[in-house]
Amino acid sequence: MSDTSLFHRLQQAQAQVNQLIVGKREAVETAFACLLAGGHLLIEDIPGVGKTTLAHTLAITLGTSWQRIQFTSDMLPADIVGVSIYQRQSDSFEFHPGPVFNQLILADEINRGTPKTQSALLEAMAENQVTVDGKTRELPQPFFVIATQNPLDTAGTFPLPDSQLDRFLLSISLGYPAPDEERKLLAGTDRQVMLKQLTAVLQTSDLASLQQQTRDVFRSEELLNYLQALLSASREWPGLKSGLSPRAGLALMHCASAIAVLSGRDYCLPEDIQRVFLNLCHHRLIHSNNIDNSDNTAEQLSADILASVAVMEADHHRI
Amino acid sequence: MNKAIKSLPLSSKAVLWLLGSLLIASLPGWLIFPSAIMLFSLAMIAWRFLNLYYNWRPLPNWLKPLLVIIAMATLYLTYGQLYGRRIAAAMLLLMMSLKAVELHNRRDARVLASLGVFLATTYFLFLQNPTMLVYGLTIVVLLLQSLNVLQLEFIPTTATADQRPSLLRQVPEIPGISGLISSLRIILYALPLGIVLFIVFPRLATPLWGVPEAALDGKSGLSDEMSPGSIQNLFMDDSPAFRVEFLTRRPPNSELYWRGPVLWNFDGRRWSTLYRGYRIIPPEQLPAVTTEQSIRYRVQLEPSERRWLYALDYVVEKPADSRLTRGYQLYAKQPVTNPRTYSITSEPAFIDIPELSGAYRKMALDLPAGYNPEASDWVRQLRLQYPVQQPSYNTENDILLIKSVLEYFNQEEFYYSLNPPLLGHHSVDEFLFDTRSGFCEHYASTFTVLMRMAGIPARVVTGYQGGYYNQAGEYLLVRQSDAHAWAEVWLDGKGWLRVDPTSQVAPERILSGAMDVFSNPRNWHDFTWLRELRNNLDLIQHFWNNWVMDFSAYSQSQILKNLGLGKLGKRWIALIILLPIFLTIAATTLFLLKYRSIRSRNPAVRAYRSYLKQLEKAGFKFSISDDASTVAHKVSEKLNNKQSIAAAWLVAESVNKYFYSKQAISIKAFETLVKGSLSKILRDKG
Repeated sequence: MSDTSLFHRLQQAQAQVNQLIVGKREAVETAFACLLAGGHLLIEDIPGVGKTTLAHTLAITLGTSWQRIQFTSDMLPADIVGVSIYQRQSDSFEFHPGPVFNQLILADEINRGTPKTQSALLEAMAENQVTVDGKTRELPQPFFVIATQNPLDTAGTFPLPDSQLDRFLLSISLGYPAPDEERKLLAGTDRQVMLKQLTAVLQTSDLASLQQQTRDVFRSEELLNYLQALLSASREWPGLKSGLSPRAGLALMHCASAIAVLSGRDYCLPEDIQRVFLNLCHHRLIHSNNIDNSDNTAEQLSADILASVAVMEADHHRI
Repeated sequence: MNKAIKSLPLSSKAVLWLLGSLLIASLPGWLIFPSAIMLFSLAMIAWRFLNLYYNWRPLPNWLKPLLVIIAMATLYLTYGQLYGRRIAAAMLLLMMSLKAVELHNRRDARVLASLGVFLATTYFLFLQNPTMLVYGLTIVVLLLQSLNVLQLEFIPTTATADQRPSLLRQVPEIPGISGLISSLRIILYALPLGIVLFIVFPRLATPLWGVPEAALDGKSGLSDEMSPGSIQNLFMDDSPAFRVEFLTRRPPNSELYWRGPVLWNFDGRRWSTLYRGYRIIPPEQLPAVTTEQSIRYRVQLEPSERRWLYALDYVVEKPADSRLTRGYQLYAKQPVTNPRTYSITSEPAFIDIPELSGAYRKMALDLPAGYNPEASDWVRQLRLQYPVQQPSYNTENDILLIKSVLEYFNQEEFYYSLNPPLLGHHSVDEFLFDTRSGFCEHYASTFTVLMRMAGIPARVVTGYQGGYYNQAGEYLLVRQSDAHAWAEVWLDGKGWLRVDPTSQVAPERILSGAMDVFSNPRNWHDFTWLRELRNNLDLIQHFWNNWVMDFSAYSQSQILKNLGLGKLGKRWIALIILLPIFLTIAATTLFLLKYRSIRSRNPAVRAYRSYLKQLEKAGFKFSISDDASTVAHKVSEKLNNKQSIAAAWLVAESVNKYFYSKQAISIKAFETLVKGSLSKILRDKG
């Protein structure tokens, strides 16, 4: 890592988030990796485990402009991208940008929105721009979306289609805290109060250079071989509707690189790949029978795939 | 192999190895090709060296065809034609050196290495001695080593264009000795196959290198002319002329006169052969065994590009493709362009031509007019003392005259010398009365002229005399330096008799060889011990000739007969031998294709794998998906000693750095570290 103070601040930022989200170091690290890799994060869990608090904390800590969008079933796309309103004084329509015109969007309970509304956000996520009234407007950079989602079997939800789930780089779930951590949580200060006291640790320029570092991480031939072997294995895995796409492969590579940066390395290791593999596969691997796609199965699947692929193939140097 | 890898650039190390090997591969060309061709080739290779060293730009494309044209023009101008094996080999050398100029990527390198091996093979068309074999093998080993260097560069199969430069960084150290051993091993693996093919592969009656060439090589050796100094020059040449194995008895050195060209014509200075002298001897004059003195022997003749087969007098049994000339010289149908072996029986006691026909008698007495008046007077005086007798079969006086001339050589101050003074117009006069110092050709020539002046038919015979008997190999080695000239006189009823005037001046020349006559060395690198060494080392060459060079179609059929395969046709034998070989190769290929991942070619992977294997033997359990850190974690959990735990983590760190980071770690350091850590861990584990 070239800039030690930057790395130090990155660690501080993680520490600050960990203060609020106790006992979820790994999830927090994954969230940071997702941001460093320049992707959007999906937090998937039952209500009340701190999804929103995590998103909130991240937003403040990163020091970006941010806005929260609470998805509801009666929400319209205009509520997200903005609307043009007729101004009598100037006899013209003036565009009022919606909450999407922020660097960090917290899309809370995204699966409560109707598909039409969801797609408005997802389009912005894919293109980094929105088109309103035939005019294309660039979104501010960097642009992150942290979406939270309730498990699919919860009442009143519209499940995101596969193609749109693929727009999210990583998905994390928080789960219940460990007993010790939970006791700490119960004894500690109220989260709302703590949130108000938070200050930004990183700046926008920091994020840009961290993202650049992530792109510059060295990925050796051996590593790429391993990564490719994982992708191949997922495609040949029995019982899967489809394996990991090349886009998912690139995503895996970038996320692993981000983990390397977070570990203070300028080269990527197989353990980095293994570290994010589950988060990457969780919302991407789909069972062919489509009924038993519970979290447990996805987790088990990705673990099985990981276990089946050798880290170091015997001979990568065949020519 | 995909196209991208073929066109990958080369490391300078690989280029250096390859160019060095090619340079060494092209050096034997000095012995075979004219210097113009060699200079051109070496210049091309040198250019590539400099190109590498100074990082010059590659040659522009328009220059390359020009270079080819220059190369071809050089070839044509030096040989005057574009046909023949020597020219083809020279063209191969030229093309190889031109290819070296555009050595840019791996494909070029492989092509060049193959060309180098091919070039090394073509040398055997011209030089078939054991030294060339060793040198040829050296070339092959070096080229294999270059390919090794090329191969061991970590060049990925999956690299995309933008990743290439960073991936090429991992050029590992090529361990010199172990790399060499692996190259030697490749040759060793090929050896049994080579031997089998050597023995059983159907042979041409004439080997490829036996094809006569359009141009003679200008080899040194006896010629069909003799002038003062010509044999003396041969004396400087230590190369073997032929080797002889005696099957019956071995005559003493003083009887070993190996007959070569018989010279009749004398122009006052130069002796030359007679066209009629090459005629086949009439059948009634063919020698026959008359006594028990006959000698059977086998001669192994080095290539001379001449048709003469050397033999002792008088050849009774001769090789099928040869004939005896009127001078009783053995004459082959084809020039001897490759080493050949022939068996001969000679009968020394045979009386060749009791009656000399008029024409030949006239030629054996012919002298140019106006030469050597003093010698002529001297002989006339001598003739008065021993007048010609009648009838002609009464030859007592002739013999007395011959003896007195020989005595004259013996009594007067004549010297056997390597550096005789130059002779002028009346060469015999000057030699006889003035300089009195010369080599065998001076004595033979002078004696023959004197005989002709006295009216006794005489001629000069050139050939070799004596030889070195190799006790260990039980054969006689005759070198070019054993070249000799002697005289023959014809006496009525007794035929041609050998008279060697040199023996009167320097008897030790005949008894023990020319080397012993002179106490001073011939040149600065002429030492007795060196000569001894050479004489003894010749044994290797002798065996080589016996077992390799002489392995002909005939010997092959003998071996096959002994193996019980004599009745099968050559095609069947080839099939029987080649089929299993091809099947083995095919099976091996299939096996390797299927299980190629079992053993990694990457030494670092092998080292790490054996580390894991040893740990598993010690009771640790790993899964294939365990990365280095997981392994270290699992290992350190069961260890107590801080040092061994640190060692386990050090391995993890090194593996990660070696395989995944940009940092270049030498393979040697890596192997040492892994091995050292392993022993620490195992010691702790107990």
